Parts: sequence; structure tokens; C-alpha cells
Amino acid sequence: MTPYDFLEAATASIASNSKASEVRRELYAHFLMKVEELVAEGMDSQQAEARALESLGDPREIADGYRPAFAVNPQSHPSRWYLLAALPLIMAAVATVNRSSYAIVWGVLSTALAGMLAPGKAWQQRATGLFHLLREVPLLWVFGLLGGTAAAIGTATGAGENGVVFLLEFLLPWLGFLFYRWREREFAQKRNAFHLTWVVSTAFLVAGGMVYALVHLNVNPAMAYVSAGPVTTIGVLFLPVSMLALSYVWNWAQSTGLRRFSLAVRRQSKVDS
Amino acid sequence: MKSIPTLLILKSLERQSTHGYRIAAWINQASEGAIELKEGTLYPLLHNLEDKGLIVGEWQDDGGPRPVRIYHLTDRGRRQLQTERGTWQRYSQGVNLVMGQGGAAHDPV
Repeated sequence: MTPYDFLEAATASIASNSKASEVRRELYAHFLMKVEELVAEGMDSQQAEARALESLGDPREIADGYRPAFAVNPQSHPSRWYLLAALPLIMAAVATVNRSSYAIVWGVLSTALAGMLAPGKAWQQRATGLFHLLREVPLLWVFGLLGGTAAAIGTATGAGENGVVFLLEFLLPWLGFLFYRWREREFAQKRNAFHLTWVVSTAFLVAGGMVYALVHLNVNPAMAYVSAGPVTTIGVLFLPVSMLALSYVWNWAQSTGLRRFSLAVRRQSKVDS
Repeated sequence: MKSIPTLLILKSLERQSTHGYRIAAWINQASEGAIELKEGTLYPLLHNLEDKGLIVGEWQDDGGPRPVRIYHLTDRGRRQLQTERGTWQRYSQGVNLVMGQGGAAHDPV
């Protein structure tokens, strides 16, 4: 690793370019002072550079020190309190839009519940109450800020537990609902867009949930949040709306353009034959 | 105690305004090698203290080959140092009292 690489890695979590540049400059000055000290002690300059770089330690630790706590971030699991607080509104909105989406409502509820039940160590260490969180934790996060593993605050255990509980709580009611639909033979009898979106969205959410849990268990919470966490959460929140929209589009297409087109094609093929 | 590095940095700057490298070196020297403040702790903490207004940093030429960022303790930082010092003294006295207890078995209940 060169000093340049070190400085880049150490400041990877700083959002502001000007601040990152200041910190790089300061760390570089620190590095050079260390080199000078070692050279003054009689060490060869190349050796001194290597030793100075080594003495600075792991740049990711420095980067972790600058990583802010965001609401959707492994360092602040209790962020799901926000989701829980928003649940009554979400449920009311969902129930208004689509009365048959009780399973989705349960999905949202279980996501929030999972966040509450399995916050792990991160919750114990950080939380001093909802108002503290509301004051201290910004609601947005930036992709580039989620870099290395923040193992120092004991996120790993909490993240792993959270992933497993999330997966179980989220999947069980969902699978139960699908089983119920399968028993009713609705899948076999009606192959319309409504059911197709159920299947596709379920596959998507199962995959997302599994990635979420597995990656969490592999102690890389940052990646898990970048990939599966927000995707599943947002997917769950927007599923009722997207499903309804899709089924409207499909029904419209069937009743108008597509249906006429397919009938015309059939008639033409009969005439041809 | 999470605030020990903060206390040590503020103490170091109360003694003399200086840059990060010297802060770490002085703490290491003053503690006779017992405390080593790693860069991963030192710089994020310095910038955090600066954000809180407890210290201010400015780029200066200290006579070396390149400018360095010198940190000064603010009035607010001085007050914070007093608070942290008091907390630490109570805490360390408490620990010393506990550690000074004899090794005999507990009194029967």
C-alpha cells in the first residue's frame, strides 16, 4: 500500500471533498513527521516510509471514525423505530388503496417488529431514546459512506440477529399467505397480472431477505444495507401501489389493445389456415 | 470510560497548542508508554472536538518542512476539560477504593 492509497482509504467515509482533502493533508503531515523521526534515528528512508505507514495502522479504522451515523445504517439499527412510528399511516394508506393487501401490511409490520426485537449490541450502545435519535441521526444516507465493516461498535452480532429474525418474521406470514392462495386454486384458475405480480414480488422479496440475512451473518453490514436492506424495505412499502398499478395496466391492456391484437392475430391465422 | 481520549487530548492542549503528532507523542511520553493514542482514534476525535467547538485548528508553519495543523483549546474546551477532569477523578477514586479492598471472602449475609 502506498501513502496515497492509505490516505484515500482513511478518508473514504468523509462526504465533503474539502474536509477529506484537509484530513488527507493532516494525515500526510503526520506520516512525514513519523518518517523524519525514524530517519533521524538512523533508519533508511525507504524503510522508514514503510515503517511509518505500518505504524499508522489500518486506514479503515480511521475511516470508521469519520463515518457518521445515518438512519439506514448498520451503526443505527434502532432506525426501524422510524418505520414503526410511520406504520399507522402506512397501514391506513395501504388499506385505502388495496383492501386485499393485508399480507403486505403484515410484511411491513414484521419488518418493523424485527428491527425492534433484534437490535443487538448496536442498539444497547447507541440508543438513549427516540428523541435523541431524531435529533442526532440524519434520515438520509449516501452510498459512498457505507464502506468498511464497523466491527468496533459491535454491529456484527446485532446485524446477524436482525437479519435472521427479519427473514423469519417476514417470510413466514408471506409463505402462509401464498399457501392459502395455492390451496384455493386461484393460481391455477386465474393467471392474471395480479397473481403474477404476487409471484414475482415474492421471489424478489425472498431473495432480498436471504441476501440481507446471509450478508449480515458474514459480518459485512455495509454491503447488506446497500444491497438488500433498503431494497426490501422500499419494495415492501411500495408493493401495494405497484401491484395495483400493474394489475390496472394489465387489465386495461387485456380489455383494449392487447386483447384486440391477439384476437386479430388469431382470426388472421384461422383465415390463413 | 469512553471520554478518556477526549480528556487526554484536552489536557494536552491545555498545556500547549500543538498538532496531532505531538499530542499523541506527549500523551505516550507523559504516561510513560502506557497510553498510545492511535491515529484511528486521534484524528476523528480531534475533528469531532473541533466540530463541537472545544478546540480550533489552524494551518501553521511550525518551522518544519511543511505546514501542520495546530490545535488550540477554546474557552468552551477549557470548561469541558474541568468537567471531564472532575468526572475522571471521581471515577478513578472509586476504582481505587474498590481495588484497595482486601482479598478476603465476602461477609456472610
